[in-house]
Amino acid sequence: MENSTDKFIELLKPEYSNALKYCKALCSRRSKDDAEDVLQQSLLKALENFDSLSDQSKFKSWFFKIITREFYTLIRKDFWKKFLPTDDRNSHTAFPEIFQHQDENCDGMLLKKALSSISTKERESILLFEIAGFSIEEIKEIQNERSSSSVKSRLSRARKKLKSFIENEENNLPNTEINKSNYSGDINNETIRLLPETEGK
Amino acid sequence: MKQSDFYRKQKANEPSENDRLDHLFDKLKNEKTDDTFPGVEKWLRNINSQKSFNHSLNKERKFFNMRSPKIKLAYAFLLLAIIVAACNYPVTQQETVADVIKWSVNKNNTEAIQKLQSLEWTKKAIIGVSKPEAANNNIEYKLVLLKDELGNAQKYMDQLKGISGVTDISLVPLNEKITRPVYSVALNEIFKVDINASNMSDQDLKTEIETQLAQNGIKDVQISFDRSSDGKRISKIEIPEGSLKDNSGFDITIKDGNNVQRTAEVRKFRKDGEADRYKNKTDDEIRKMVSEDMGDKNIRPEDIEITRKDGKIMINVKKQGIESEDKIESEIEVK
Repeated sequence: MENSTDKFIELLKPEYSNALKYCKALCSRRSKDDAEDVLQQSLLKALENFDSLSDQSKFKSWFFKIITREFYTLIRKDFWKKFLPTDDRNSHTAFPEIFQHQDENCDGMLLKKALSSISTKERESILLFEIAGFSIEEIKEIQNERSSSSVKSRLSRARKKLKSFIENEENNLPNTEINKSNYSGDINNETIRLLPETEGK
Repeated sequence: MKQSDFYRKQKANEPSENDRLDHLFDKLKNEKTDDTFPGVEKWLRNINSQKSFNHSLNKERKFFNMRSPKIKLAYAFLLLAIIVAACNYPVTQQETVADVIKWSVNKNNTEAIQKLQSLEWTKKAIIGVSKPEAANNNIEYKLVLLKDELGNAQKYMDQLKGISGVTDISLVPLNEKITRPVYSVALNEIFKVDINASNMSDQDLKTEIETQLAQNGIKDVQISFDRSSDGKRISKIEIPEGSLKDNSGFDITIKDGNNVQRTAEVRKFRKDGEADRYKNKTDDEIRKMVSEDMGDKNIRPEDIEITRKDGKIMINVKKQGIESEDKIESEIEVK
């Protein structure tokens, strides 16, 4: 059992960072708590079922598939938790806070906003491609698609929508150029920087 | 060349319009998150050490785990079964099947007895008369009023009270315990009648409808028959005002050869504040309100018949295509 956990952690370590970002971006329409919940449940499920993974070279796609499934479970949970008691499986061991202390910079906020404007399936595809670095063939497997062309067209559609959203957002911002050159991207830093200027006036 | 490589290359060859998006993705990719890994590793190891301890607990929890589609299906099925079972759950109700009016008269009080005999209803009704009691020479009378005559009880009692010498007037309801499913209780106020009128003459059908309605307490019904251009018999049933209780109704299906005619009427009396809605409204405005209330856009304005009489507004809605009537009666004074 101990060896299996060691192996799991060993395989998880190189994928951890991308998995974290995938969870966060996938839950762009939802709260940080939800993103943490998806990650926690995925890790639990992966650890519980690690012994059933016969080919450890496929750990990455197997783990991201679990994350994706957990994300959809979370969406469905919204409906079911109105009628049924929720399953708080890990009340005995607190999951470390991961996303709570992360500051969101301006670009991060913009991407989050853009990602939340596209459909869940499109978001899932583009994140698997851009963040996790999966090939189209691998995404096809993770998303249980029949053909690669559907993944390709979904990717292309998602990029187009994101690009158009970002363009619109930035065009609607007043004095975009000035903001870009001066803006540090951190709201706290910005407040500290602007405070003496305001007081001087 | 791999498809993804082709896609990446194609993306790279596109002019700078994708740069901004790529820049955003790159920024997300380059975010430092590895510092949280030790905490997660520790958590995973803790979970693992508790795993064997919680094994039995997890098994139990898995059964009730709402994340399982099987348990969701089971919950849905259970919910459906509970609803069906609840609707069919037998409910026992007390139902008044008859009222008994009792009164006493001294056998020597001939004047009172004569007055009693002069009452119209005592001539038709079957009245039980007991022998005079030796102690006080009182004759006890008992009149049984069946379901369709229950409305007359108060009138008869008032008449009895008006005769001097009539004593001990009392009304005893005869209740019967009836067990029926919950859904039937809910629908009980609207009774259903099915008549097979094939080979029945107009007179026979009229008698049959009258009998069926009378059994449910509706009397003095006006029944007439029309023939359509293709020779089909169309029954017209008019229920007198006050025959139906508040928010009750009937649903009669008459099978006449190949022709099936359904006549339904539900009366909704609105004496509450809701009735004020019709106050000072024109016919067109009422038609619009009724149409909206019924939520049926297929109702044409000409299907809603409005009659104003003695301060009351009678709204009669005839739905198109089916022989059904919904009557809404409001007691509103029209200024």
